[in-house]
Amino acid sequence: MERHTRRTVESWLAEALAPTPLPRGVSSRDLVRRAVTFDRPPRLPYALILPVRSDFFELAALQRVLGTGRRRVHGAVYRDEWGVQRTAGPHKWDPVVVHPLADLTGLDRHRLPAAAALVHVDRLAPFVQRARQAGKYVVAADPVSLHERLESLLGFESLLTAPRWNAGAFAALLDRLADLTVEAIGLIARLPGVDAFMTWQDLASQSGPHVSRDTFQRCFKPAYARIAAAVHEHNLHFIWHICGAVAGLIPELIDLGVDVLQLDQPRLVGHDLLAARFGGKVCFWNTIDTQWAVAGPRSPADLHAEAAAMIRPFQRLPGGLMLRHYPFPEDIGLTSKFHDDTARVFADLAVTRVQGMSG
Amino acid sequence: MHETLDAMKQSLLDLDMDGALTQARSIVAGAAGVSAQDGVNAVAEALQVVGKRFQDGEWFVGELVYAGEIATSAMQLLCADLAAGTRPRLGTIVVGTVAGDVHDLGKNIFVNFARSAGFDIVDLGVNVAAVQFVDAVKAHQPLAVGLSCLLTITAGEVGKVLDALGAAGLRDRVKVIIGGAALTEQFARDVAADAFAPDAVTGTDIVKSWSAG
Repeated sequence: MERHTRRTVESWLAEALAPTPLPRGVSSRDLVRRAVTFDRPPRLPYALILPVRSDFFELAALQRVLGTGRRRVHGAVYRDEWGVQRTAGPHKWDPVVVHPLADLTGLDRHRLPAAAALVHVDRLAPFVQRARQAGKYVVAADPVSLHERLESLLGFESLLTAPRWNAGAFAALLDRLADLTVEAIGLIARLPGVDAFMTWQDLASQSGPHVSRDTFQRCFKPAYARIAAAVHEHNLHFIWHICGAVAGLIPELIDLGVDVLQLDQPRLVGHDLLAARFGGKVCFWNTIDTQWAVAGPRSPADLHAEAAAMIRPFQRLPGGLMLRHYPFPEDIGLTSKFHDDTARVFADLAVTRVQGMSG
Repeated sequence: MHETLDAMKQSLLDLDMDGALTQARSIVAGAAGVSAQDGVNAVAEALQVVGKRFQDGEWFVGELVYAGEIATSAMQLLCADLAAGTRPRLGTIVVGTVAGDVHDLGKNIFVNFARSAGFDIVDLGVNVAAVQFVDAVKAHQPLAVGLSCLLTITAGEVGKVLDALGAAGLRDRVKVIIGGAALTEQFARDVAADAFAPDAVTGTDIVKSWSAG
């Protein structure tokens, strides 16, 4: 079993560390950094998962391959390291059965894991070193992801309403989670070769942000500002994944100092609008819009047109766009054919972009 | 409008739970000189304003959820004071999140708004199989069935519920409204639902229009 696991990790690594097509003298890391800093990258960086072909080396993906969690029987109820009771299921996230802080009572007694238990520096260090030697741009994963953690601890409804019915306790919890995140960033920064810190914060639904800008600024932004400051203090890029109709929040995220916005639903803002309003201010790392992808059979021609529509508005800019496969296709019913087709289209258009720039 | 009713309405619009409930208790205690029915009407009026703020992009789901919770709490106080049968009822709605999906926020917001608007709600909860919807329609003979679905991977369950209602010979007797992050207007047309609710406020308004018709 152990040998099988080791072989699986090694075969994944062989793909993940393999070079992507690059101009002479340019590494994947150079490419990504130039895209993020609007320094005329010679092509669009991309991250493909089936098969793995990527300018990035994502520690989140590595940790999934390494299998940090214990395997559980489907349907088994367990308590995770945050004290959240879940049911084991087939998808990436196991559904929550009990939110332990739903009414915020017991907050003082509730134990959060230590940062060292979340960031396994010694275990990750050799992989980061190999990735850096292979010229990859290394992305570390936020082990807290504050908003997602609040949601699992409180439940979504309490997360949205607690700032009104128990502002003090809510702020205290937010502070504890922000402290933990800052501590985790410090540990991640000890890994020589990490380029970026990526967080997952789904602050919006399909129709708009969960809370008004005023509420965001008052209740959430101070905690995020501390996290952003810690990321930049360690000279890392700050990558922020967010889904939903996020146009109203993007100015806030830019103001926080987010370097890269990773969107899985760029259509909800609009490709043209993303480039016109925010191009040059923050770099986007977009997938083919997931809702569009799953809404019907999509031919290679459909996909080509969609990817071209996503890329075209950014071609006037000296960077600021990167491409990505949605990393959990099976969870949303995307087929491997869809990802194969997307990989071909991305590879094609990423190079076309070079020709467009040189022309 | 009466001072107490104004104050209760304003408290709800200020998202002040304590203020709204203080006014509701004053009404129930008879200290305000207005009836519980007047109080119910004031809550309903406030929710109309909440709905408009949400639809205009002034308020977001966080504010919508909390306004719904305040309205529900106030209505519980006020309705307990209404004599049985005196409260005007708009009809019954059976609601649930479809099989495979355990998200309940959207459903709960809709339940709060529809209940506050005067509907009786039969809430089947989350992860509800098609046969449970059929059984509930047989048992409660509702005006409408509301199906919630957040996950794209469970959207197919919506069609299964509609098929099951049809197979049971119930489809012509009940309206079906669907909503949730995974669903769209086009999807509602594809599965021949009667309506798509982009949000809880619009959904309540749609069912109200069916009740009036």
